[in-house]
Amino acid sequence: MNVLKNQGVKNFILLRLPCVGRVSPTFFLKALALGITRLVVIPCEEDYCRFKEGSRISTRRFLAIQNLLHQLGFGKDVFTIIRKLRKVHIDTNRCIGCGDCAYICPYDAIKIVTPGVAQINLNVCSGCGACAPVCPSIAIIPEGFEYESMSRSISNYNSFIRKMKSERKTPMVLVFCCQWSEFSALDKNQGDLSKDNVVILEIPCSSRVDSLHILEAFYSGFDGVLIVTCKEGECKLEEGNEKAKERVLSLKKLLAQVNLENRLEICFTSPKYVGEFDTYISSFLEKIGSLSKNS
Amino acid sequence: MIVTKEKPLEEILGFLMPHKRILIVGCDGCTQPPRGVREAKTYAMLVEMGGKLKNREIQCRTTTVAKQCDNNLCATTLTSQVKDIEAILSLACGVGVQTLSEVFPDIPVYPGQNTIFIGSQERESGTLYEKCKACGDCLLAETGGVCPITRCAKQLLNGPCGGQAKGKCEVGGWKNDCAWILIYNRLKDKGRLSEFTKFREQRDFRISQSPREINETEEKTEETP
Amino acid sequence: MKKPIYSNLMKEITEGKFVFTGELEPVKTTNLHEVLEGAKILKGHVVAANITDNPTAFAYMNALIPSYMIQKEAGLEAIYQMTTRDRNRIALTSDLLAAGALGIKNVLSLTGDHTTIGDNPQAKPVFDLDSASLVHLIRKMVDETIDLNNNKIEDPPKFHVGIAANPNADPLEPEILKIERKTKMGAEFVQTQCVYDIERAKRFMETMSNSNIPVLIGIAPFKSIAMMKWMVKFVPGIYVPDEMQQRLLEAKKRGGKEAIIEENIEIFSDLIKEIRKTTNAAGIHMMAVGFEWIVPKILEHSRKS
Repeated sequence: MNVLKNQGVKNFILLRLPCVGRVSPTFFLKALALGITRLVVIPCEEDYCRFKEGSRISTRRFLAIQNLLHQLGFGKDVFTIIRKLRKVHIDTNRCIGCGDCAYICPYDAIKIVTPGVAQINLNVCSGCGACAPVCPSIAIIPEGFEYESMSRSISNYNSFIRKMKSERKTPMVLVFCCQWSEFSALDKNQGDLSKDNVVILEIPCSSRVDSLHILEAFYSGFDGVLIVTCKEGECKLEEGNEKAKERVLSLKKLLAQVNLENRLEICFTSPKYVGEFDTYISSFLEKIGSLSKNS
Repeated sequence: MIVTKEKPLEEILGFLMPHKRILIVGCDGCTQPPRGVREAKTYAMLVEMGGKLKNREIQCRTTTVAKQCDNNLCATTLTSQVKDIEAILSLACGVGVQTLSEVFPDIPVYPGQNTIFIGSQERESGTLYEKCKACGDCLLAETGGVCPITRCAKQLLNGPCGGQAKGKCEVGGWKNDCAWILIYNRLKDKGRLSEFTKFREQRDFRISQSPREINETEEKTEETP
Repeated sequence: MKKPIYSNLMKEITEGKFVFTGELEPVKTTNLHEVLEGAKILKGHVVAANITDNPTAFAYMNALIPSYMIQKEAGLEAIYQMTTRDRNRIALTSDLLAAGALGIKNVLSLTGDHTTIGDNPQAKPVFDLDSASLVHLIRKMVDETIDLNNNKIEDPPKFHVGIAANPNADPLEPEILKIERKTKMGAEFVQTQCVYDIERAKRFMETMSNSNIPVLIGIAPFKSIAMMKWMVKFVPGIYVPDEMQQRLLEAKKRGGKEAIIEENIEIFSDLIKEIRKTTNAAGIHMMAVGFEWIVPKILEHSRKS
């Protein structure tokens, strides 16, 4: 959100989209007609579009809108395009040079350099965050999805969960949602999705799923954790869903030692299948509910 | 590097049960897979949650040491962190556990790992392989870079034995390569079969007699007349 | 220089006789009866018999006692098998001295099957020496009257030392090189794993043609169809030609157990004849543990033309 701050924007409505190409030009005009004073579009850098040239095509569209707005007499900054891609940084003070990140990076963006620390090539990094959860010293900082900030937002639910549980006795579920696999919010009226015992945390790619965050979720009182990722072969990045699947399997072994292995699940979905995500959530909630009753 | 495997949580909880405030100490040294701060945090949560299942309130703090086999590093990194600590759970190899016990003689130090072997990791499969037994008398020059002491189940110096078929070893169910067939193939490729046929005398096990120690300062003094 | 000869086995080999050896297996018992009965059956048909040393790492009776007893009670010369699996060089030296004291004349040096495949798989494997360095130890004791560490031995033992080889080994070359290595160290004869296919025996003897160590080809008749099937399935590298399997299966259909025995006698006496005719093997090592009585029958039959 620093991007907006830098633009001097204080109050804003955030609309997340699978791809900027999804928005029709009339949407912007309608927004302005509603009284919104400024529009900021933040598409991927052109070479990084996860879909088919969404960034490039819509850029042309945006320029046309910009031109149109200008001709209509709007000011220059009423419609701004900021190319932005969240990338990964490495805290070399913490790095122990083990090379795990360099091996897992699907873009070959990380090298181990003398004297044994990881170095990232930001021109190649696509910000998937696959490197972060394998770092033994938590030295990798995926912009926007930092270990600490995610960790904080999970543990912040602690008191909320306690309250919910004492009031409603319903199980609480945390969903780590790959930003490319699930957009049901777009297909539904605002608010419909968020059952208040389901908390959704968005991640850049399911390969960013960190077993520490999952553990922290259980530790903070969540009764179940669901990882939502793309269907096989449909990862918008590089086999992030495969990595997540492996990680979930190995974490289940650890969780079995504290009887939690059945409370973690991974599901594979795609925005193509409207409603599928809801079905997963409902059946997972049901399962966790019956587990909680039994224990 | 030194390869370790996590002890079952049940066993760890067994050690920690009498204690309430635990410091979990990772090791950023050669332990493989890495047992750094991430592992320490993981264990902290598992131990606390596992303790709860047994109605025990255990509080864990986490930290890590650049290498736990260095007594000076352990002392300087940890002394300020162990003040109110009742027990330490070390995630290092057996060396780290012992170093910590020596540095903090008043605090019980428990092993979180079983130390398995000195080995290497094949990244593609994620498999860790034992590669060196620290026998103290390296043979690799004449065995084509394949260590028979580590990789032959019988540690033969004059193999292969009759327990191989098509280059696989009967020990462990025909899964592992026969070290001596590997050696034979390597030496054959390099036209050095005479080194294969050569008789290797029985080893001198005094070299690897435990406990072993090396004191470089003493060695230097001995050399100077 | 001509090497001294201590045993009947070595004497007959040196004289160029085609020799036969047998095999006896003491098991998990204190009773020597079966071994001695076996020895009495073999006596007169084979020049000497191997006494196995805890084969496949099963904890059985120590081989030295039966080795001594068959010589004493049955008058059959023993080939005392020694593996390096369970004893370090001290115990091996010690047992060799004891064997010498008891009049043992032949020792077969073996590395031994690994502990993990035995009936006490938890045991700590020793392998202080291997079959090659055990040959080396025996040679030093016999020829130089010293042990491995050059300590003097009073009244040194007098042994001939043999080694094992596997004509079924795959790859075969390292197996041959290994024999070469042990021959250089002073091994005096080879007994092989069982061979069922004459072509294998020929191929093995041809590859061995450069070395002049006498080779006794191993023959193991089939006590039953089940044993044959087990060998084919579980013993690595063993190849039993289809025709041979077929003959035994048909024999069973035809006349049950007895017919199998008859067929065995036919098959293996033919195999022995072929080996004598087509290879320069020095003899045959007959392994018929638990049914030693078939050995005289096969050998007699093989002498008929």
